[in-house]
Amino acid sequence: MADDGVMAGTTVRADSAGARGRRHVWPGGARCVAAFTVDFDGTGNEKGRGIPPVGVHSAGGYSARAGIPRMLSIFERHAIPATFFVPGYDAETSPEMVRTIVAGGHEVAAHGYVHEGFDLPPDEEERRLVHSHRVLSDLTGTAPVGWRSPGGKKSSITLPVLRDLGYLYDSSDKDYDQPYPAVVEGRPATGMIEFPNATWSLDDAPFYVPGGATPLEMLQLWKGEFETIYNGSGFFMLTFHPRAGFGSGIPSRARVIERLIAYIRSFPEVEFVRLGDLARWCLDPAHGHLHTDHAHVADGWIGGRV
Amino acid sequence: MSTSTSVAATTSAWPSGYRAAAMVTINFDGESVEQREFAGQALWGKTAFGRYGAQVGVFRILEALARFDVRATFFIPGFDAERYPQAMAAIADGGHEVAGRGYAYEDFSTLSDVQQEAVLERSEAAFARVFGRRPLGWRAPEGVMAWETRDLLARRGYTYDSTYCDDDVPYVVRSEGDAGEVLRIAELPHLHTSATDRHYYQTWRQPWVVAEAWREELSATVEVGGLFNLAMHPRGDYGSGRAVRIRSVESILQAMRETPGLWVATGAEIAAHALAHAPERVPSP
Repeated sequence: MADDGVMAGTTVRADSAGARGRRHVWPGGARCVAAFTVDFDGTGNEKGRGIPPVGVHSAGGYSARAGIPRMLSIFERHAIPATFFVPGYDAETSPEMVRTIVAGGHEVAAHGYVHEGFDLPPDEEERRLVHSHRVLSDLTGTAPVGWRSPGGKKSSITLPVLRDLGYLYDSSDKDYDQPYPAVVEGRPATGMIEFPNATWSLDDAPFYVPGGATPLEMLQLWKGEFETIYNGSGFFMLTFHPRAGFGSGIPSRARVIERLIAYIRSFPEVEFVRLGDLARWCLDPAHGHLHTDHAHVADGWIGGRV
Repeated sequence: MSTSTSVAATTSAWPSGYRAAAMVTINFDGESVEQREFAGQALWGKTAFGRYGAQVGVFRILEALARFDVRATFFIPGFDAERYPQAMAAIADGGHEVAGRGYAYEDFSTLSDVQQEAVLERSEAAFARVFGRRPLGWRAPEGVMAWETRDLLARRGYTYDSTYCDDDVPYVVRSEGDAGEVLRIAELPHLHTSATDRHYYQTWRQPWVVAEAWREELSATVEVGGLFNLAMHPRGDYGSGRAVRIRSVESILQAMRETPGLWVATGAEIAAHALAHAPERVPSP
């Protein structure tokens, strides 16, 4: 359980806001923000691993053909703005789908080139970050402001390179319940936010494969996650994958998303947000997410030491 | 290329009067599975789960299919087809389709195209001896194949593959024959991590949980007008051949029976319809 983290976070935020016990405040005065994020993860995943996207390894092809269209239609039906993390290779091979995502009012953010794990020589890592950045910028007409590590890892140059490219947030770390200043070159940044993504619980992939969760099991877990987060930090960020295999794009698992939306909508004062918008809001010092005297950041408990 | 076809109903994808389709498939996967891993060794003890499927499980599944009057599609490695004449006779007598699955459960991703053709030829020869006919369909052992495998199948006269998992509905791919002629083969997509017994039992789900998951999979697939392409295994480990798991098989067959507008057919029947009506797709790069 994440109760300790929630309690600690609540106390610190309450202290910094000068009002012990006060609830978190989020954009629009909401009690809780819900950020639905979708990692495109098309055939680029297999490309990066040198596996032809055929047979059982064709699950990435499902993203552009069926999974993303289905998710877009769900988000449209429920008026939910979402954030799509798109590897550069998938953007190059499915440009129309990326334009459709943008046309739906969603944010497109970066997610590596071929979903690499970032165990790369620094020059090569920078080259791919810059290349993917240009691919997405050219395709959408807007420079992406967010990035999520494809394999969950970063190097010492990742965030500095992204900062120089104008990125406002990273969404890769697992060490906290709510946004905090990203740690860039050893210091809490004033221009970049970290949105921690809890890939062992707020992510479809590990539960469906290898976990073997059924759709109803998944729904039950995410309802519990939402209810506890709603009553805690108020930062609920979920990661979906539109592919077959470990993803949520297939009909039975897309239903889970719809049912979860209905559940979330039964709570008052919940705001669905795109991460870029939330990052800009968090970067306003008045909103309390940039406190560098934040105990955990100052002590290096979170954000890591590089 | 249309991207909206699989979002919602694809009512034109099925014969008139039907809103969705279902095929029940059995990946026979008998002793050939263990033979691949323990080549040349006697298969006893924990290496005998495949034999359980061939000697026990398959007959239970056949009985369930007969009770619900469903004709299924059996993907059978050539080795197992030759090894288990009683099981093969029961499958053929039940009016089910028999389709290809390699000869000795080969890993097709490691074979050259010449080697792949040799394996296909060997399994077709086994089918000729055992069933007196050629397979029309194919599903790769472990779902693993090579770029060119589908083209090789098309050249050898197969009408469908059922290994890819990149759409909700059947589609057609084109390739070129030796003389430059256009070849077409249907893909009947199969979702390996949900429309199957194996993934759930390998992750230790209880039979009734699997039954519930399958019914959910069926109803969600029908809702979007898709193809419910269920794969079961007769095996004693991750398969459905044990008596307690047959209840889950019966549960999904019952749910299929109670679903209005569901076209329950064999792979070859669905492929024939797809070749006449389904859209052509360019393989994802």
